[in-house]
Amino acid sequence: MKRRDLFTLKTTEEIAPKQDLHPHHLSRTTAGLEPYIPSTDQPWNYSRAAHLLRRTMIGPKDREIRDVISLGLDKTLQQLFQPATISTSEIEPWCFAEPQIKAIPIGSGIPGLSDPDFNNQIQLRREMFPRWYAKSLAVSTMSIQERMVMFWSGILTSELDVVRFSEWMFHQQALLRKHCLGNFKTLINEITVDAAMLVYLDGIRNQKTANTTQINENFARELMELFTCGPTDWEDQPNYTEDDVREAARALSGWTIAISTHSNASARPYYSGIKGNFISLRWDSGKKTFLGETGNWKATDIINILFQKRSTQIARFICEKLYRAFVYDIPDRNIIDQMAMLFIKDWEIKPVLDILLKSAHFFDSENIGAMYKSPVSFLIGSIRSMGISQIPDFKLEMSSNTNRDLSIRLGNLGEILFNPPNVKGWPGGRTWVSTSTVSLRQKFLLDVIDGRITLRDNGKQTRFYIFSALDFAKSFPELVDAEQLCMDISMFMLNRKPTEIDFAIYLEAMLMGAKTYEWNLLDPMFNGEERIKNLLRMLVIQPMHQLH
Amino acid sequence: MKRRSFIQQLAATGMILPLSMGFPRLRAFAQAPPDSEFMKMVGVNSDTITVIIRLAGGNDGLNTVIPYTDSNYYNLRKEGSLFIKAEDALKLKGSDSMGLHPSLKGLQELYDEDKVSIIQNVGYPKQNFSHFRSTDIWLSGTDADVFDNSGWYGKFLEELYPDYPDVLPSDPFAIELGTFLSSTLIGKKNNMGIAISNVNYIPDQPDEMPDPTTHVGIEEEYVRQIIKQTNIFTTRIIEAGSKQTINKVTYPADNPLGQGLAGIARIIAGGLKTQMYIVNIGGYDTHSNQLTAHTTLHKQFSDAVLAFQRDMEAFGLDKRISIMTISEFGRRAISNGSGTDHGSAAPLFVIGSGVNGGFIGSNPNLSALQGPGNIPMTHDFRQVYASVLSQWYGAGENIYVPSALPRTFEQLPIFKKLSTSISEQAQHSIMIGQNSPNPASEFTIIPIHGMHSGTEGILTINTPEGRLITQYRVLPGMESIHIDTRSLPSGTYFYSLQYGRYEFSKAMIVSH
Repeated sequence: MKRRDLFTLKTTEEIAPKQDLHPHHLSRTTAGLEPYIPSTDQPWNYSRAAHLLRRTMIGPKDREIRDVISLGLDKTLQQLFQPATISTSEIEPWCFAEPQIKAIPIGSGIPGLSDPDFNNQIQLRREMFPRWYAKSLAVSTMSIQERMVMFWSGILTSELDVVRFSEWMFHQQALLRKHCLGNFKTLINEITVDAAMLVYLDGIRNQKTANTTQINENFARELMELFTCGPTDWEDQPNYTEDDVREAARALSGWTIAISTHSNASARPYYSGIKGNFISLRWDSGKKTFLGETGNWKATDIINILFQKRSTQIARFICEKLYRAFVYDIPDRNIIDQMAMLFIKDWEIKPVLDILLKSAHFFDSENIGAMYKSPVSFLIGSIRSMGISQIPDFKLEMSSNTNRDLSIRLGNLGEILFNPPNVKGWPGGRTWVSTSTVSLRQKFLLDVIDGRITLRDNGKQTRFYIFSALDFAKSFPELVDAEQLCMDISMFMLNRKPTEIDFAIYLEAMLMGAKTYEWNLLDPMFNGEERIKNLLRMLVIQPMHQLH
Repeated sequence: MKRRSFIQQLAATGMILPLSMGFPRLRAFAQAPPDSEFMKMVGVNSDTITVIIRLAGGNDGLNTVIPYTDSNYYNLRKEGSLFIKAEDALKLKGSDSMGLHPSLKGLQELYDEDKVSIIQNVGYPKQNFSHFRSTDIWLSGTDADVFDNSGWYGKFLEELYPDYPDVLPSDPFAIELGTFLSSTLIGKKNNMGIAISNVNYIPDQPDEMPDPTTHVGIEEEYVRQIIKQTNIFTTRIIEAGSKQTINKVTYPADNPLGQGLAGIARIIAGGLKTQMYIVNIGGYDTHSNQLTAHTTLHKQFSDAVLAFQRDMEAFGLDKRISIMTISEFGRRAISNGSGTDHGSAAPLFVIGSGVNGGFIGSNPNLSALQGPGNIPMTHDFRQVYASVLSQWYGAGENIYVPSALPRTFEQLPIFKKLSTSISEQAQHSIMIGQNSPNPASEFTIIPIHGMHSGTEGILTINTPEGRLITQYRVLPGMESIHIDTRSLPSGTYFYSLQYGRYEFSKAMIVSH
C-alpha cells in the first residue's frame, strides 16, 4: 500500500519528465481517491484533523483542530464547504468611493491622472484593500472559501498596481468568491469580461473599428496558456497554435469598461461603472477559425469551443492546480486524471474538491506536512493560530507606513497581496523558502515571541504584534502535565510527533532547568510565560515549521 | 538526560540549537577557504564577473535599437505612431542606420567609448511566444523542444563543482537579487546560487534529521539546505558589504535597478568572490502604452548601467565586470495600436570595459518578416552564452558542452581578449580528492593527483575554527595520504594541500 509498485514507477516517469528538479518525482503512495477510512495504520487523529484544516483554512487553532477530531471528517467537510460571510463594512468607504472614478477618461494626458491628490487617493486605496483582506483572513471562520478565493486569484490573476483602482479589484475578488466552489466555465465566462481583467490584460484596447485595427493578443494567449488548458497536453502536444491565439484575440475584441459619450466609438470614451460592456462597433466581425472551427465568433463562442475541443486538457490542467494547492507540490497524474474525469462532466468545482479532501490519498501519511507555508499561511496563519494581537495593518481607520508593516513583511517574503509577480501568479512550493526568505520567516516569529517589534505610532514608539505565551499555552487542554503540554504544543507547531531525542530537547527547553514535578504553569512565581516562550523559540526555527 | 550528553548527541546529528539557549553554534558542514585559486584548479578564470539584467516581459528590440533609416520600420509602426522618429534616435559612433531610443543616453555614452557590444537579432529556432516557456528556454539554454527546469549557468557550475553542496565555497557562486531563485542558477541536482532581496539587510539565523524517503523528509531536507546556505553565505556577504559601505559615484534616485546595482558594486568592491549576479526588472510586456512605458524603462536601465560602469571604473574593477541583458523575446514588428504583441528576435547588449564594442551582425531585415510579422533571428542566444563562458570565464568547451549548452555554438567576437585557455592551466592541475572512507572512524585516505617530480607540498588538517591539528609533507609522486583518525574527536575537519601559491581544500568528517 505504501510503496510505489513497478507499474506506478514506469507510467509516472514516462508522463512526468519535467519534475527532475525535485529529488523524487514519484508519488510515494498508492492510496487513491477512494474514501479515507480510519484504520490503526492511518487513524483519524490530531495529525489528520490538523492536516485537513491547515490545507483548507488560514491558521487553524489548536481548539478548532480538537473540535474537528470529535466532529468527524464528513461533518467537518460540510462545514468547510459552507459559504462564509466576509465583512466589507470597513473597506466600503474606501473601495466604493474611488475618487472621480466615473470621470476619468481613457488614455494619456488626462488632468485626473496627473493630479497628485487624485494619485495619492487611489494609492491610499491600493494600500487599504490588501490590509482589509489580511485582516479578514486573520478573523476568518472555519471555511474553505477564502483559500479558494486565493487559489483562483493565483490562477486568474490581475495585478492591483496595473489595474490601479482597488474598486475594480474588489469586484473581481467578489466574482471569484461567488464562483469559487461553483462552475468553472461560468467563472471563465465572467472573468473574461471582468473590468479588472479587461484592464489588466488589455481587453479594453482590443478592437477593430472601421478606421483602425488594434487586435491585442494579451488576454487571448493567457486565457489558453494560463487560465484553462495550458500550452501543451500530457503528451507534450501543443493545445493551440499561434494562429489560434490571433483568431481568438479577434473574437474577443469589442469589450470595454467604457461606454462612449459619443455615438462615434472612435471618440475618447469615459470609464463608467465597473462592468464590461460589449460595443459591437469595436468588435472584429469577420470570420475566424479557432481550433478548427470557423464562424463569426465572439467571446462566448471562443470559450464554448475551447471547453468543447480541449475539455480533457482543461480538466487536467485545473485539477493539477487543485492537487498542487491542496495535496503536494509534485503532481500525481493518476489521481489528477481521476479528478479530471469528474470535473469534465459539468465543470463543477465543489464535487472535485469534496472527493479529493475525503480521499485516502489526501489523508495518506505521505502527504501530511509536506507543503510549504505561503507567506500568507505563515504570517497571517501564525497571527490567527497563535493569537498574536495588535497588528498594525489591521487598524483600518488610519493610514501610515506603520500601518503597512504586515503588508511589507508579506512583500519581503514574496507575496504582495493582489500583486502577483506576473500573470502566471505565484510559483509557490519550494520557491517560498529561499536564502532570501527563510531567515526573515524565522526572525519574525522570534521577534514576536520576544516582544521586540516596535513601530512609531502617533509619534511615539509603540509595541505591535503582542503575543502572550501564557494565554497561548492555556488554550491547550493539558496544563498540569509538563510532558503532555510540551508534546501538544510541539504537535501543533510542527505537524507531527517529534522523535524521542527531539522531544527530549524540546522538553528541556520548556523546563528551563525545572523538574517535571515542579511544573506549575499557572503559578506567577514559576514564570511559565518565559518557559513557554523558550519552547517556542526552539520550535519556530525547526525546518518543519516552514511546512504544513 | 544531562545537558552535556545533549550537546554530544546534537553534534553527532548535526542539529543546531538556538543562540538563546547559550550553546555554541555548531557548523557541521564543510566549507572551503576563501581562495580564488579554487576556481583556477578547475580551470576557469577566478575573477571575471557577469551581471545579467533580465528585462522580463519581452523587450521590444525595434524601439530599443532603432533602424531609423528603414522605411519598413515606420510603416510597420504607423498604427498609434509607435515609432521613434529618425531625428530623435540617438546616433551611434560609426553607424549610419541604427540608433538608440532617446532614453538610452547613458548607453550611447558607453557605446561611443567602445564599451557596448550590440548583438543583433538574437533568438533561437522555433521561437515560442509564451512568456514562461520562452523564459525557461533562455534560462536553461536548451533547444525549444527540450524541457529542462535547470539553468545554463547552474549546470555549468555543477560540472565545475561536483562536490557541491557537500563542500560549499567560501562565497556564493552566484547571487540573484530577489525573493526567488530563477532557473538560471539551478542545477540538475542543486540550487547553485542564492537569492537575496536586499544586500543591505541580511539577517542571520540559527539552523538545525529527517527521513529522506518521505515527502516530508525530502522537503524538510530542502529547507535545511537553504538554512545552511543562508548561514554560511550571508555572513560573507555582510562582511564584504561592511568593508565597502559607500559607492564611488551617485546612483540615480528612484531607480530600483540602480539601487540593486549599487549594492552589487559595493559587495564586489568589498571583495566578495561571487562571479555571477542576476537582477530582474519587469514591465517590458508592452501590449499597451508602449511609448510611455518604454521611455521610463529605458531611462531606468540606461541611467543605472552608466552609474554602475562609472562606479566600477572608479574602483578600478571595471576590467573584471561585464553586464549582459537578456529578455525572453522581442516584440512583433507591427504595432497593435498602443503597443506590440509577443515577437521573436531582438538585440542583446553586453556592456563593460572588457568588450570589443560595436555591432555584431546585420540590421533586422524588416522586408522579410516571418509569420504574423516576426523578425528573423540571425544569432542564437547560446552563441552569446558560449562566448561568455569561453571568452569571459575562460572555460573550455569540454566543461560547458554538454553540461550548460547542448552542443557547440559558434562564438561571437564579444570580448577583447580571449582568456587563458584551460590547457595552460591544466599544467598546474594538482588536486586533492575527497577522502575515503568519509565519515572516517579508524583511518581515512586522501587521494592526491598530479604531484610531479620537482613539486612538494604540505597537507594540513584544521578544525572549522582554524586550529591546526596536524601537517604532512607531500612529496613528488605521492598519490595518497593515509591518516590515522582514531585520536580525532568526532566532527568536521578541513584538509588542505598547499603547493606554491596554490591551496586546495576539502572537508572530511570523523565519526566514532
